[in-house]
Amino acid sequence: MRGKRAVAGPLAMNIALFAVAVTCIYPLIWLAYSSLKTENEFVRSMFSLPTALQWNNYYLALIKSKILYFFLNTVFNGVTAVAVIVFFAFCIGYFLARYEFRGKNLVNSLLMIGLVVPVHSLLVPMYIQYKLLDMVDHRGVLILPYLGVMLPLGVFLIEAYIKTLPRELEQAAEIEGASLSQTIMRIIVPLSGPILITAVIIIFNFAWNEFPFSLVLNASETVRNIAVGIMNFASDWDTKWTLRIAACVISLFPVTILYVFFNRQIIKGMTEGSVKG
Amino acid sequence: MTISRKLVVRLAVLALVSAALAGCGKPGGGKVELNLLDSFLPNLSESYNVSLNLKIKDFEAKHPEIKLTRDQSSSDVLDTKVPTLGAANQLPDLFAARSSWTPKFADAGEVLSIETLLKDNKTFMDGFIPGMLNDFQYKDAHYGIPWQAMPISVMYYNMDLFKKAGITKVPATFDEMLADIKALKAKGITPIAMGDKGKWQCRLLFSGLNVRTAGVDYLEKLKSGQMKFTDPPFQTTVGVFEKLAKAGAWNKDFTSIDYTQARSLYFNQKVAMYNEMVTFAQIEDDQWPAELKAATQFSFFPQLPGEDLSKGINVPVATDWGIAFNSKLSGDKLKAAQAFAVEVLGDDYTKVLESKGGIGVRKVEGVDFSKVPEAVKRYFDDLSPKVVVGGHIDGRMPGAVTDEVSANLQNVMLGQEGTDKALQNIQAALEKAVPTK
Amino acid sequence: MKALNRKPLGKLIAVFILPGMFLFAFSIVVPTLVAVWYSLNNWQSLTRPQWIGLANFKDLLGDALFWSSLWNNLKLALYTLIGQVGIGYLMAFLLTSRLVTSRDFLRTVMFFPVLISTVVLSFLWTLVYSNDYGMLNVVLRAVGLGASANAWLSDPHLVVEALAVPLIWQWFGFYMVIFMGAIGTIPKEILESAELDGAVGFKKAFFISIPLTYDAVVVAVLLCLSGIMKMFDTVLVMTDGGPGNASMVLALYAYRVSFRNLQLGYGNTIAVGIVVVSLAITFLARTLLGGKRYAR
Repeated sequence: MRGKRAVAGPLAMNIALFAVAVTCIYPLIWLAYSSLKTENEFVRSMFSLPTALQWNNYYLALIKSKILYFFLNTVFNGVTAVAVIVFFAFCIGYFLARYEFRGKNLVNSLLMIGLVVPVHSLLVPMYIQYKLLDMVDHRGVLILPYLGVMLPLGVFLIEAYIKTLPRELEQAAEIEGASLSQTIMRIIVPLSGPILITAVIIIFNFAWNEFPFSLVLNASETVRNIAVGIMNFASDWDTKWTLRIAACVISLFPVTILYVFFNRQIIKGMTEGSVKG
Repeated sequence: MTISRKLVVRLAVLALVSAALAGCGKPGGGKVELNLLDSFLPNLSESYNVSLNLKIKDFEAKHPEIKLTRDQSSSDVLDTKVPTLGAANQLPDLFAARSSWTPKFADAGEVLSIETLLKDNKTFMDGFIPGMLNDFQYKDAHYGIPWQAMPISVMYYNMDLFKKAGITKVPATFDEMLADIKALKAKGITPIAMGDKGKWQCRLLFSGLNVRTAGVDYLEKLKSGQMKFTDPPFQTTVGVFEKLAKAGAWNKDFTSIDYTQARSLYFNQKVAMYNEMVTFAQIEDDQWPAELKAATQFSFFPQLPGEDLSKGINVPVATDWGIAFNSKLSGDKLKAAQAFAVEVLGDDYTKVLESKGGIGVRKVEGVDFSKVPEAVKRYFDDLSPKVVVGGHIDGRMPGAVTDEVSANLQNVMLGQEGTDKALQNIQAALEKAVPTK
Repeated sequence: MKALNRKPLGKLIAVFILPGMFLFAFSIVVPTLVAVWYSLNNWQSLTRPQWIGLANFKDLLGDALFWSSLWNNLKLALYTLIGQVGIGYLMAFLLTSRLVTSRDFLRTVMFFPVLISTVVLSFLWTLVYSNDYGMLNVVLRAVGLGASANAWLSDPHLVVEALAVPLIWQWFGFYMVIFMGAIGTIPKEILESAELDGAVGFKKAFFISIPLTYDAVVVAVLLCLSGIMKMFDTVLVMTDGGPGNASMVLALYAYRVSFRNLQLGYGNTIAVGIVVVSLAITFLARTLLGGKRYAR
């Protein structure tokens, strides 16, 4: 059935898709080779390749600044944020997907508000709020604003996904005498693999790159995160671009690795399709 | 009882979260504690950063009874942080502040006046060059100590590129500059670099020219209503912008590149001229290529039509940033803060700054000028400028007005607006933001 | 739509919903209410705020910059709806069909932009758009279209459109992944029987895939719209609202008023304006899209 046109169509499309993919991967490549240039080289021509590889930049970025320490702080932020937010988002999302109840509109409205509020206008109220509770510069304080920003996203994504799972699943389990938590843990959660992993990656990525809340609430060096740390490679008069880019590359490692690793799982989950019968 | 198990799990998570959030106790100590929020990042090579950090180390070594906790961020970051802390009334003991924030903080009673801080140390108070604290003044008192003064508007000329276009000297008059621009463009050289993404670079030239056309106290006169932006001196200034725009003097993407990229254009010898507020002290530390150092001349913007330069040129300097002191300081903390002011921001530091070509805010003598770069020496010795303090619009006007100035200047520079309309808009913004009584 | 019959509903609500919503209310709802309170005050000089009721809001209605910023946000909303959600769905559709090779590779790579921090990417795009040595102009000149080369981010007529491109490029992968997950839940039998009936390509998309993933589409639209109304980093890094105020967006305006001009009262008024407009737009979108029509 494959005439000439039938092949040329997909071929052009494939080429176009690959072109798009190349543009998507180019920034990573650019960051990598730019971080190995000298400051002069970089300032003279931003897109050229380095003449000699300046691994020294990584030494400066890692050792002279305290990036490793910020790195660990941010890992803590990310892991705790993911654990707490995905947990609550799943609970609320499942419930919204499966049940009708009196407060449902209220819950939806509150979540919508969380989705639309611009972040910077919350900085001053939040700072005062946490200062009153003596929680500023505390390691765990960021979980709360992160929850505020990411919970609606998590809830809506999980809710939409669970709605696509047929109710027959739960009904079959109920008939067989399984309790609600058994049903959820053994049937729904495994099936929600793809969306849960996606949520984990998105939320971890958010915590990793997050800047304004960390700046205001957790600025002291013991709890500072990596996004704020990187900003200190710049100043009014003298921005060390190559160091900053090296710091960005260091910063990119965890999320990229997390993603590539979990990507296999997501693809598996998606291509297996949904339950048959 | 599966529901209660679920409930227990949930409560456990909640408990864990709360435990993680429970505040820690504050450590005690017998020392006097001072917090400093500053922008002297140690991993950068700016001269005054290096000097100040050394001085702070000396201070800490000399005062083992004082525990100094430092929080350092770049000045971009401080722009968000300090207002947030100020709004929450949680400013640190000492912090870097913009001079333009002075009215707000002083009015709110959150900062200590320098007069109060140094009331036991009159000699130190008198050691400031008269006028250098003007940007930090509010109602007869001063609320910050700047660490350097910078000429608002210095022209960099690359004589090598000028030679390529057949020009042999720095333009002396504005008409000569326009002719030079034409010659440069004929050779495909971009005449002037401008990086106005942050919107303040065009205001530097605006302020610098206004000091010459309208006098160094033009900002006070505007605020009190004695002058209006629509008056002739400002028409001359904006007229300069308009004429430069017509001549195509700037790089085309000047609104989307920032000052670092504009500087790069000059460093890479891609443009012949550049205008900036300069810290001369750092030219040694910058990575200027040797040919560029030799080719660069610093000078003023050329003589404007109708300007009388027989009495010399006024070079306005500004003190955009300084250290401010929390009004809650008292007792031992106050004494510690006094010591900090005197020892870190005092005469020793000023001598070091000036030996590198910087301009300090205190009267010092016996400075070793041997290491000052050639070009800087020529600027001061050959041109004999009169350093005056004031005139930088960012230091003395509210944000609503400076925003309007930039927006309109950019439109003029893009050829989208005329001088009169621009000045009318700016005057309207001024009247709204600063109603004259 | 049988609700599952189990223990009393109230207890389930308490267990599933209340803990999370309580933390959420504490984290975001409380600060939002505080911000609303600030907006009703004149808080110019960091002294005690003075209550002025709705006077700030009256100023807001007459503030030309607020309306022009809103207009920019609406333009960007349109571009990103088509770009992020539209292209995202297209990619998801293509990458779940058999027409495309190396689907896993493409899928992995197209998600990368989502992972890189917005600030870094925005800076990269300013380089691409640069007049003299930016990639876009270099390419245009190389293929002979040098006359179209422009200082893209300095052109008041094109700057908003120029800003839409990085926004679309960074986020289409996110929506693509969401949609791929949704398409993956469509039972294979439905897709196969549709193909046997002759529905391929766009027919398959419109009449089969989109309806069966409609919930995901609605959520995607809501996320896209709410995200664009509070968009901040990209514009800050690329143009800071310039040239003039041509690319000013609402969140950046609120930030500038609050933090650069130190007018916390009016700055929060703008923020409240953003919330009201966003809620209106998302409500409108939700109503227009239905949402319950294709529930299984």
